[in-house]
Amino acid sequence: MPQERCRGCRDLVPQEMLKFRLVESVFIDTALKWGYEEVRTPTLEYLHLFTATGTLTPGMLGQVFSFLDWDGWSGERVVMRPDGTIPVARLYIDSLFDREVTRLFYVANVFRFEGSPSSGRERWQCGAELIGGNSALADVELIRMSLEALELIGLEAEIKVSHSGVIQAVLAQLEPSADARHRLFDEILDGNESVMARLAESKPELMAGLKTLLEVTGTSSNYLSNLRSLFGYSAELEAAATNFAATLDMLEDIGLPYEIDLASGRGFEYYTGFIFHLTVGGTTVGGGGRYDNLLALMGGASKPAAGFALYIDELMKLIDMSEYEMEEPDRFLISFQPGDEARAFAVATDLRDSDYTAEIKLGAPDVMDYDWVLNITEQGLLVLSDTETEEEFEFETVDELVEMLGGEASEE
Amino acid sequence: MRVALPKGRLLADTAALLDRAGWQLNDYQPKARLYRLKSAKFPEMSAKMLHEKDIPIQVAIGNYDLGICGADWVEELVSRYRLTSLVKIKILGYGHGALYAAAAAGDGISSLSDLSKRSEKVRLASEYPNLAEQLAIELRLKNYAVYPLWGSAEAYPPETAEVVILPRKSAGELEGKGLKVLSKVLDFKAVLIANRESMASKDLSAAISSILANMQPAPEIEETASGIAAALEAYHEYAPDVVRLALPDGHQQPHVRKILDAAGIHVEDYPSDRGLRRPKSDLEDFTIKTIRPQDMPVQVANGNFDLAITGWDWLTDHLHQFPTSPVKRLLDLKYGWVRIVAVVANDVPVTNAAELKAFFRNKNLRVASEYINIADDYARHNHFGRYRIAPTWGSTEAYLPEDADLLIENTETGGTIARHNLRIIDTLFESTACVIGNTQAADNPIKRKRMEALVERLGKALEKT
Repeated sequence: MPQERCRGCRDLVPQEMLKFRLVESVFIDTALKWGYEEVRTPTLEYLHLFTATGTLTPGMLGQVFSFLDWDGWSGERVVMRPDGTIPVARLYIDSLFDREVTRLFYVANVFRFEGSPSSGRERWQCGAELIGGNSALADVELIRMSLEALELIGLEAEIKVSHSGVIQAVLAQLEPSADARHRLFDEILDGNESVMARLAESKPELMAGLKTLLEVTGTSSNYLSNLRSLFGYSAELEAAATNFAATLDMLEDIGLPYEIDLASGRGFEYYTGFIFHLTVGGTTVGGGGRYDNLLALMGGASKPAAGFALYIDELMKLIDMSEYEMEEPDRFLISFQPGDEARAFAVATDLRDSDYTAEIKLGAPDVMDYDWVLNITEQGLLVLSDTETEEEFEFETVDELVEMLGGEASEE
Repeated sequence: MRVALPKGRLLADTAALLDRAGWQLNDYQPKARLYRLKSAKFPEMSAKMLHEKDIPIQVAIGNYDLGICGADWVEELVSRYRLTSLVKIKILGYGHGALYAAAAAGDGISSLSDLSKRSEKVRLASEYPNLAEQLAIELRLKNYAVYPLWGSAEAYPPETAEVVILPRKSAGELEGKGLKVLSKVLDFKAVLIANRESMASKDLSAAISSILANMQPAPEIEETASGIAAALEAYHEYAPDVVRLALPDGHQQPHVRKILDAAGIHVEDYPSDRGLRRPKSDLEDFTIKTIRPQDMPVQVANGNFDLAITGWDWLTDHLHQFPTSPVKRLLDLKYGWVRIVAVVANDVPVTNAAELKAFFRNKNLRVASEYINIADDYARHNHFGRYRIAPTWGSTEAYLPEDADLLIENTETGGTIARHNLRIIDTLFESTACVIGNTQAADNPIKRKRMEALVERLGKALEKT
């Protein structure tokens, strides 16, 4: 009976790992150059880390992998990290709280159960968090940095923007009861599209405006002025719209095109302000936004913060490896007589010390997978053959060989 | 066609319905000696009596095509697991009840939204842990723990849980128990359920239509909640030096009573004929509650109780789940002796665990047990390859051979096992009742002295009896 892979999980075979590492290393390089520092948090966290803020929706918490700990007799449960930002916020509060502005990044997997087989249970993210600092400027920094990383991978992304405060202010006008409004917002966050249909039935007069708001996507901050005219002013909407406009104005100033799409709230539970999605050819490959309340809700000092994540699994699907020239060192296959194992290992080590890739011959490999075959003869000579031209060269030491090849691989 | 029928609460009404439907079942009654039933109307049908709580999972995994059980247990299952394999066919109109979220009357919790505001831990105790969890998530409780219970949830508030979720016919019944209803979580009745795959591939129409044609109109139900609840008993106040003792409810009570009497410990209202759960004793600086013995190890581990009287089997199961738990056996009470055994169907040609492993090589070994952690440990220690453990809530013998390959069961004489055409292939250990204690509670020297004194007194009493 073959052993099956766990449902909803996937393997990454060598070809896919190349794509994974490409995305990851481009992101890491970019983040480091923007002054971000890498952090890593544990896979297991206490469940109450994620319930404590009261920001995650029931729909999202109903999908986490959680279980009683081995010492969980008090009902203490641990959860496999379902989100990247909250653990980093915890780390910040634990260890870095005394900094004025902190720029952090991480590469991490998050775990969630999903009904559909196409979306996996384990998803990898490259995330960046910018804690502290002026809001509109920080929003724009995060967007620019995410776009830069995507560009370096060879992808041109479109930006869709929304604003959590604006959505909530509009809902406040539709639904006076705070409880009902929270449930409504939860459902929108959980991606339940029937909410809108239900609202349309129960409140047709207000819904006309909301439909316009959610369906018409705008491309300039004029959209906001129109929005205000549709809904009448409330102090809440005014404040949120002004905040939204500040970021949009800055995006326009630096010439980044964007599209306003208020309806997309899914997966942005703790966000308080500006929200953005990055899409490539209609696929969402990343997103982020501002979460100014999160740190205080988690027991830290109140501090503005924003972040984004790129979804590695989605990006891998868009990468064509043939477009990349991989600069790989020459590969050597070390062939030798039985009894010569010690010499073979020593020769291989010397080659690796010169930054070449060297493999000891095992079984009957296809020599065309290698650039060179190095045969250690019975007399102890090193006979090097070029697998393409079948030219042969003879050496007594690896040093001579490396010299003939023009020095260490890294200096080629 | 395979049908799972409920024992217990729903049995009489279900039997009456199936009688009207002309099934002519041979022995569907509370004292049935075997769990397997035959229908004269549907000779090809095999029906089994199972614990109501086990029926939804058994139908969902395809062991049965049809089942009848309370909708509460269906909701308990589907609220956690997204089962597409379970179809609710029809609410049957009898077996009405409701699940209520309740707190102790006079505990100061007046509504569920009070709980949402708390930042300290909210403890929810219930026989319905999945529904309790769902409620906690929906209320966005910031910090909560769910205690899954075997029973006696009403005993927990306010000292050992803030909220309990428990079934009753009406809210008034809970008020009569000194609980305040915070909300109704669910209304339920008996429901006919089916396996989706069976619905698609088998002809179940005759059985289903015979049930649907013979349903009776549901009686009107009157809600009797008065909105006023008063505590029946004074709640315990836990001073740091007071020892919290848990005594078992149910059939163990006469045994415990005898030992207490022999030790000269006077306990009032135990067993309680009014169903009260805070017996008073002449033990100074002890408070006593009666709860379900299965629930005791975890309740001692989490510090809700310092001492308890339960079975070694349940402590062992607990320690397999939580190896570093601060609970240990302090005194063997020597009554209630059982063996914990591994059981297979008579026609499975194996005589020990190694042969069982070989016999099921490359196959799924299905294990059914009330002791899931003991069963898991047994499977690991014997290097069973692919095994699955299905938790059961009693009448585990009914599962072999169709629904399970191996049982981990307790038995006194082995008589029930033999009667069901089953065979013991291994004895895991022997179990008797015992006093268990929390080792961390003993860090308090005054408490430690009191705990030791009681254990010593009980030990001496045992020697006399």
